[in-house]
Amino acid sequence: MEWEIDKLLQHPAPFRMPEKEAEESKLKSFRQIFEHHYKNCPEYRKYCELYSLKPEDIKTLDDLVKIQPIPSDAFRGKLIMSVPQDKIVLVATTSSTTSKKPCQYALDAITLKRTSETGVHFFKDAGLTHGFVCMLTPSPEESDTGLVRGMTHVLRDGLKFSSDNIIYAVKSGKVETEKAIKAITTAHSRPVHMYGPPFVFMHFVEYIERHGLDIKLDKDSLLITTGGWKTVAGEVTKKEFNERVSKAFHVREDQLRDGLGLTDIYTMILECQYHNKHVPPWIHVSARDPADMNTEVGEGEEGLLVLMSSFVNSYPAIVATGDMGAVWNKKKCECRRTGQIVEHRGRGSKLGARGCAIRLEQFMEIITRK
Amino acid sequence: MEKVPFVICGEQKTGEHQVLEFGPKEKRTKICLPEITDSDIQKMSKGETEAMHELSIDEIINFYSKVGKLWGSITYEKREELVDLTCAVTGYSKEMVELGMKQICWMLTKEYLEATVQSDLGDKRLLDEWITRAESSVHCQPRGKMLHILAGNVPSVAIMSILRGSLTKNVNIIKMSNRDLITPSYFVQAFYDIDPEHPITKSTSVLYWPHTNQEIFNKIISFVNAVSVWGGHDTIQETRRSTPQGVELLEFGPRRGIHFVGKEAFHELEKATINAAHDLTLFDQECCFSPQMTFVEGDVEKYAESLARSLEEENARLPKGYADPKFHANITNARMYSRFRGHKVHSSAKTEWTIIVAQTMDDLPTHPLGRTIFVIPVKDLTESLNYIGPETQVVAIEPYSRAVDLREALTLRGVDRVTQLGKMGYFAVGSPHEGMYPLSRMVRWVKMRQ
Repeated sequence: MEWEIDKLLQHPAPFRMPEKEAEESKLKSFRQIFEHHYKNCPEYRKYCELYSLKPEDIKTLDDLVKIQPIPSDAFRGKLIMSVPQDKIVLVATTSSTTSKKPCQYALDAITLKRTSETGVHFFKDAGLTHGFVCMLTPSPEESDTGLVRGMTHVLRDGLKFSSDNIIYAVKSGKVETEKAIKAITTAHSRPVHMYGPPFVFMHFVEYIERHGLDIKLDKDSLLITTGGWKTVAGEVTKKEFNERVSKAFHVREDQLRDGLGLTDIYTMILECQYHNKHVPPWIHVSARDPADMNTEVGEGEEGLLVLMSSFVNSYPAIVATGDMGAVWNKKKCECRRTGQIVEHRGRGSKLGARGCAIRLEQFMEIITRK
Repeated sequence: MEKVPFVICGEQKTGEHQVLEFGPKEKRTKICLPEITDSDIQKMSKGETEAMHELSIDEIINFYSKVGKLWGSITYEKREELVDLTCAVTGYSKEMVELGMKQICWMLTKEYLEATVQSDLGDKRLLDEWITRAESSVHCQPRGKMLHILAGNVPSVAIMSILRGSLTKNVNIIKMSNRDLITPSYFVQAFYDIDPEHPITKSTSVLYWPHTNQEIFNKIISFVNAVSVWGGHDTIQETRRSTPQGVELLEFGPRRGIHFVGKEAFHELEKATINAAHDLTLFDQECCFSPQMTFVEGDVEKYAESLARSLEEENARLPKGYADPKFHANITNARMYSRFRGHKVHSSAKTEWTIIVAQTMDDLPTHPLGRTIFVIPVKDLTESLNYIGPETQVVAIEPYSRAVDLREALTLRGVDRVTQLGKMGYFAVGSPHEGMYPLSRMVRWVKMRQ
């Protein structure tokens, strides 16, 4: 079968596709992937049957709301697969502060290849194509989270960064602050980019401020935050965070880009320079009425986020994360990218905080907190 | 903007130091609260413990029964305001708040107050006199100043805590919860309307500060002699950590209730499910006694179908009020999870009530509360004992005749109360609470050898 998603991923500028073309491709790719999961994932098929939903019911983009999402907790402690187990090459996990069982996502080679391609699109679109990357995380050998492994995969296999041009600032649960600062100030490959959870950025900012260091990154460096704002939220506002990070590294605020890590569908969405999070055509985001999952809330209104991916082959990446957020289908951004815009508004209460950074926080808490 | 007063040793103060918002986006209620100053704290630290001690227990009971009559009177000007504001702040429906008011008025009757003192202390005279017990003369002295940290989920529970403090002649300092900033404030305002010069009026304080303001907490905890804390795990842990040694700490932490339905209940199934629905509906399942699970001997589907009908009826009688969209999301999430795992889900059109029938306990979602019950079939009710521990406060059994056989095993596992379906939210007069008689811990038992 010819997969529309693979055609879509070959597009030179998927974020700027004409709307009609993007919508047609999106519909076709989502119809195909839904049919694939329906036919090949018995649990998902049974679940759809409860709602009398069949692949042929998806005729237009408006019908995507009929596709039943799986709550992310259902991935906890159990692999849900749309391919035979022997095709699985990696199991990515997220964790919870309220449950000992992590969410597990089974990934096959097809999904990983497409992940890499989508990652390349994201970072090329943002301007991260070469240079040196300081990952404010453990290495993939020490962490099986999507935040670490997914990004490493994209950098190495997608953007062809050599291992000399990637450094991991966390080793054996400790932030190697001085070593990381030396690396970013002496790297030959420029520009230098940084990627990691906000609280580790703040750790570096505090270190720089305390020691009065003068560190200048490049005019085309990108400082990408991802993994949740929970730890820094009680201490600094996002505005103050941006100001302090910009000052510490001598960068403009438009060089700071927050990434929305969608670990449940093994991808992320990056902010544009105007701080809008643009959804590419291989992802569909829907904000549902929390009291009625079959109804979407209005444009820009807060609802329960449902995430759908048309590139994940190995499991039904059609997930209700328990997170709240807003979606705009028609909003125009000054950057002129097309498609949906999404804003994350926090986690549903009592559902337990999830996401990779929470787990990073747990083992790094002692060393980063005074 | 509604200015809700704090009361500092009988004096009301209003202000706009803190503004808290409640309710749906399109109809927000803004509550303005005054600042707590060092002079307020100093005044509370000097609270009139002696004047409280000089009151007789009958005078205290008389005072509170007058408050009860005032609150029960439809002509009391503050009553309507209280009900409307409580609905706006707590999100409970008017019907639910009125039910709470009825419970409070019942607690404020002379009969209830007398029986509480009598059962908790064994003899109400101990509060006023020295009573001979074996070789000693025994007397109950108040602890002094008592801090009540309230949870705000059930209006009557806040009043119960305050009453206990007064019935033991302690000076009450009441920290309201932002879940209910109305009931305690209005309750204490009524003291002034009864008698502005009464020692209870002049010694009682009611206020609120956010839990993050450790500074105020530390100042107040430094001069209190006892603490009664209600709430979730974090509140209990934090209070435990911050309470100095020697200060008596009474904890009322998070727990749950469970329903046991025996096969005999199917003879009068509708009666059983009407009662079960009431337990589940009461204060939207936010109480420590609210049932979260039902073990059923017999046809579990038949039980669930009958319970569904009863919940629909009970919802019409005691409708759900406003809840933050995140709470609806929790319920929706639990329903989706259960359906995906193959459990049978019975539910209202929106998120009014939910019944999740699972064949085993192995794969249940996180409990979302909000009138949700997990129903599990068992061959024999004794099987359910495996799932009972100290986290269970109360077990309601239908038919109640089965309770006698089960009560020893249940209470050995940590259950504090065994009752009937439909009675979970109604404490029998004279009963202990959380495995103790609270009044007995709010006094110092002193003696003189005869």
